[in-house]
Amino acid sequence: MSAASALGACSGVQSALDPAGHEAREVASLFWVMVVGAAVVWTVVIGVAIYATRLRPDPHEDIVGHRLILWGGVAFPTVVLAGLLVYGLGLMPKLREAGEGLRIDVSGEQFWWRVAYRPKEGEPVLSANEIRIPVGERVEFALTSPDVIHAFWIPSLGGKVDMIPGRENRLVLKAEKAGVYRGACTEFCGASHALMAFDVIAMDKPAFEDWLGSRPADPARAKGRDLFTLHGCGACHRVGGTEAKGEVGPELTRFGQRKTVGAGLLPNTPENVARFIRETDVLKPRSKMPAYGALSPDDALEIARWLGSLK
Amino acid sequence: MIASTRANLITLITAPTIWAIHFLVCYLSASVNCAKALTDARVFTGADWPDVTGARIAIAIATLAALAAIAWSSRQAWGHWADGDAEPPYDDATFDDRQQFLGFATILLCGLSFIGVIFVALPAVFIGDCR
Amino acid sequence: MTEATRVPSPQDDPELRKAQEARLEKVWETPSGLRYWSAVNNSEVGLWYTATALFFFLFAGVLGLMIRTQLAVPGNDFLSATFYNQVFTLHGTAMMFLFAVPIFEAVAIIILPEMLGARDLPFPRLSAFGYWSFLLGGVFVCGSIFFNAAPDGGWFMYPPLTTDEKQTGIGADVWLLGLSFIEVASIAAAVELIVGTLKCRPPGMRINLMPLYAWYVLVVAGMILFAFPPLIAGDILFELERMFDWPFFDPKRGGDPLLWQHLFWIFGHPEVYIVFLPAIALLAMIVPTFAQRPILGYSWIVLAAVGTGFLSFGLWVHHMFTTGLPAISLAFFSAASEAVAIPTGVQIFVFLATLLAGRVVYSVPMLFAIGALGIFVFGGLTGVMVALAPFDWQAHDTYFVVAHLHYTLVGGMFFPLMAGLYYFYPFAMDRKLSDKLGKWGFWLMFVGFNVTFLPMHITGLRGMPRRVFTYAEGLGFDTLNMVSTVGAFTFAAGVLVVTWDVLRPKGKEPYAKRNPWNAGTLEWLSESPGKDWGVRTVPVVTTRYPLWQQPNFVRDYDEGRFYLPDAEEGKRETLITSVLDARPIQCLRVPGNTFMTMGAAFLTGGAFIAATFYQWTLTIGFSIAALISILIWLWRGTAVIPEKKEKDVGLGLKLPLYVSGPDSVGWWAMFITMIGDMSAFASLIFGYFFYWTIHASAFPPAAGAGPGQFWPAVALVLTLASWGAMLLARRANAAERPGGLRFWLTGSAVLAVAGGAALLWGPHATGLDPTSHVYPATVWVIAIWTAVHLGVGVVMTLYCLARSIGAKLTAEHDIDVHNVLLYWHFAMVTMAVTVAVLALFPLAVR
Repeated sequence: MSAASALGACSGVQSALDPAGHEAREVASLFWVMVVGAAVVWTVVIGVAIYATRLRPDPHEDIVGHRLILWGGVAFPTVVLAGLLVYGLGLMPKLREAGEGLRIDVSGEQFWWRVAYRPKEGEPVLSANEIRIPVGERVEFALTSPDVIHAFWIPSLGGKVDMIPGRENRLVLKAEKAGVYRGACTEFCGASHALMAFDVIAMDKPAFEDWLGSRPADPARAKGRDLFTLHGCGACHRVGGTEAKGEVGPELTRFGQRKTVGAGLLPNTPENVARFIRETDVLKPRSKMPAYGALSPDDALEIARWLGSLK
Repeated sequence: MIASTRANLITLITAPTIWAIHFLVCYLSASVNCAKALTDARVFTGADWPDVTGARIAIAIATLAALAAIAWSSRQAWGHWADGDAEPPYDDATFDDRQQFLGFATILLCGLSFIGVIFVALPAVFIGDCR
Repeated sequence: MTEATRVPSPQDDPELRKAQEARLEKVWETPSGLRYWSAVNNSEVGLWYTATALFFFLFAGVLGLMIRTQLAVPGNDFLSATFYNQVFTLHGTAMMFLFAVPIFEAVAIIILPEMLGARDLPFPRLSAFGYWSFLLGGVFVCGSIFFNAAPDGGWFMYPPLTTDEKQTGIGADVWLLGLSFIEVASIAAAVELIVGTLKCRPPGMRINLMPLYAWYVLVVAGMILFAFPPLIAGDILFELERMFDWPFFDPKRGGDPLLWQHLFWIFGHPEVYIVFLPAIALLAMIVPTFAQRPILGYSWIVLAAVGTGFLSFGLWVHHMFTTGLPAISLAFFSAASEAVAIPTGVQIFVFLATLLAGRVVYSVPMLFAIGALGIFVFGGLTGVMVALAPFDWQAHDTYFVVAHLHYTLVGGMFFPLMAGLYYFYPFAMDRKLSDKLGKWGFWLMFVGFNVTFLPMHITGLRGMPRRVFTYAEGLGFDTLNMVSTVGAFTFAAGVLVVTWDVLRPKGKEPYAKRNPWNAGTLEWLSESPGKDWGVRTVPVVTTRYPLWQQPNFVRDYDEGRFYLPDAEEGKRETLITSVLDARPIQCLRVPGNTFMTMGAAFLTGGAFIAATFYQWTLTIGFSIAALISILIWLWRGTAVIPEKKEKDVGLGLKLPLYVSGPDSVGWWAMFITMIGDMSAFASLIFGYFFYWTIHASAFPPAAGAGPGQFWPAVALVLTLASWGAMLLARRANAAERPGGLRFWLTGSAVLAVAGGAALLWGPHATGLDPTSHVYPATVWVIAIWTAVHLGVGVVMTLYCLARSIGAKLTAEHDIDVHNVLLYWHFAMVTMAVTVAVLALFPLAVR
């Protein structure tokens, strides 16, 4: 029962102890094995210390001490550590198997994620701040950064890898359960390092294939769209099917499908999006996007509604 | 490293120095092997990782050499330690106790370095490519 | 020396003893008034050092509380994001660089000399210089936060975030230059402590009788020599990029941010052990005292200290497990990280065995020692976990690691230090601390610590990254963070109690009785209240615990029946002995109080601080002034020619007052310093080959783009000739030919200047532009490093020339020429390696 409650305490969309992927599950098992071992070792060592300082009436012979050093200090740790090392080394290549076809390029940028799906066949699909993957397939992530070092981590699925300017790292993850998980940047990357997260949606494979292969709906004609154009948003953002072709900021095609705005910052509601447009500098310190405080709340809301309609 | 009938601070650190050299040989041979293989054909080559056979051979040779050198150092220290006859704690202010203390401590360091060399060689057994 | 065998001695005369004591007191008297700050004696400097380091601890602790306050609830706005980043950066920086490492030097400077029955360390003025540098650098780095200009890139300062001047302002320069300055002081302290341990032991204290603390000091100081220089090398590359746009870490021009990570962690991981081992060393003194028996397993501790020292250099990449390096490269570091747990465990079991075989006296120091054990073992076990790369891929850069590192450092360093504080306080301050406050302090800290950091293991594995100024609600972090914050304030309350116990006025309390814990080692010979002389007489030691094991030892000591019971000539003196067997070889006159060291430190600091603000004229001015002040200091205070050759040091022994070459402490200091210098140079060379491995063909580039072969070859030949001239200079001096000496010194200096110029001419003549690509930048930095070394050699050579003309360097008194020649051996090696790498390697790989 205590184990069950302990496991309950570990659940969460961002928890390494609530694994939903092959790599995370292997590591979580390793962790629990080590926890049990560590608990035993700690109890014995501290037990000996308390016995030696508080409980024992008379000094033991020196030979007892020598034996303690030899067996407790040398022989036992050597054997245990060797076993653990062999376990860990055996695991390392298994956690870096090759992918099975789908490759997703992710670039960490201050302070958001640029995403490009590169299926084996077909055109790349661009996105940002949200990643969809099929369940049951080893997906390969190609990770880099144009500005500073970030790190890409989806605790529920597996370990993290740094995104280093000038280098391209790779990470292979296999989701085992459909669901929504949360990833975060784990390498300190500047003022808004804390505000750099993303959602991961693991979907059944057919649903994923449909999603990836389908064309986005044509963007609606709306007041929000005109305001978006008027205020020059298209200089930085791209919206497929419109004249907005910017590549500096996050891709906004299908923005309406995303769960959050601002890289995991706020739930994707029109009110939050409008707020993000007007108060970027407050919500996300040192973000490259200027705050459009001069925009009236109504206009911002119009833009937000239009963005929300992009699916 | 230096053969000496008298134990001193240099004979004391011979074995861990050998460990350090062995460690560097392992790390440098594997990482140069992979870095050079990967700079030309960069990452996404599917399952075809460059292998590290060259480095593995170098590591095997270095490991045998290091273990032999540590064994030699411990053989010498065994002599300093009165061929294992001396009981601790070696706390007299005499040449013999100084010699036996250094001999014994050297043997302990040889043991640790021996284990250390084996630990450090293990990766080459389990990992065969640059993944 | 039992009653029956005692021979008549002049010390039998009480009047004589009184006169001796008066003379000793006068010679070693601590100055009063403003002149107090001119003191260089180890007991004063050590005390200032300790107090300053503890002050920085409190400062960094307050920053820690600010972090915990900000994180108490999700979405808190107590601190802004940018200020929070300064706070956490400075918390880590100050704790590591201004507290953990300096406190080792501080405590060692206080207790080591008396533990070795020495009156002082061999270079007291160097300690004072180190202290003033540390104070100035520390105040500079910490003070920056009051101007909102503190470093904000993390204590690890990863580029390219920190090389980007738009993102990190002057804070990064404050970090780089302020800390480089302190690192230089740390290396100076390491040199001092190594020489002190090897050469200042009391007669008879063979290497097998050395107190375990001294073993640890030796190992740790040795580690500093190999760990700190790589960081200094990294700092140089870093500042060159920030100030002059040399692209070492800029991937667009061939650089790589990972090189910094390598250099930083080659320093950073051994540093953890540099912090940990000296604290364990305190336990190695405390445990036998309270077990009331000699340590059981002396040799095992030596194994553990030396073994850990070596293995700790094979761990650095475990801080880089997530950088995407090949698994096999990571795996070696996993293996070494597991292996290092073995010697660490041995130390703990030696303590347990000693306690088991002793009769334990319970006390506040023991309470802290056992608390330390409980916390440290826990941290060690999580360390074994994160040493496995697969687990680290999850735990890395999360609060799990925050918890782990605080368990190891608080358990492995802070609690032992508190044990040491309660244990050594009577030794340094003549009065005991309060048992009652100590217990309160302990329990508040122990409970507070665990409440703070235990939950963080779960916080981290639930996905909370490190270094975040806030977190979102509802991810499972909320309660855990609140608990941690409550714990942190409890911990702080404990620190406050102990701080009060240390600072509260104790003037009315009685002095602690002498050797209050009934310990067995020499430092407890110290009188209560303590005397300025350090030791009454340099004792003859034949056991590991002389106060327990040598009969009549304390009485003989008090009656001055050993060496140097007097200060007839009114000079500060201590004994120099041989390395392994502690045979007396010299009576060393150590220099006395002076403001020169403070002046030299402040001028050197001025140069670093001016450079932070890019004030080049001021920087050059301060550098020249610092150089002059150091030369004056050396001229007046080192290699002083004594008024007589030999001196009767007591017990019928006559020892020389002036020795040179390998017998002298100065020669050892030069040798050890140059080992550190070579490890900085090796780090630059490592950088060169690092770039070679990551580039397919651009490093080194195609034919003709390097510094060529001609000018480097000329430089090598000229340097060889300069070195040869130095050899001839020493030979001429030994043959009592001062004319020859001066001729060859001058020749050596001229040739060295030409050699340095030729080396720099190579890349200049081939038009290498250091801002264009990392290859020319690397060539330039190595060439400049070597040329600067030749320049320093020229200054030393000219110094010898001046000493010769001033009749301070003669055939008989030749310390200077020996030491400078030793420097030239190393400079020669530096040049040879430089030429091989810059000029020959490109040919070999073409």
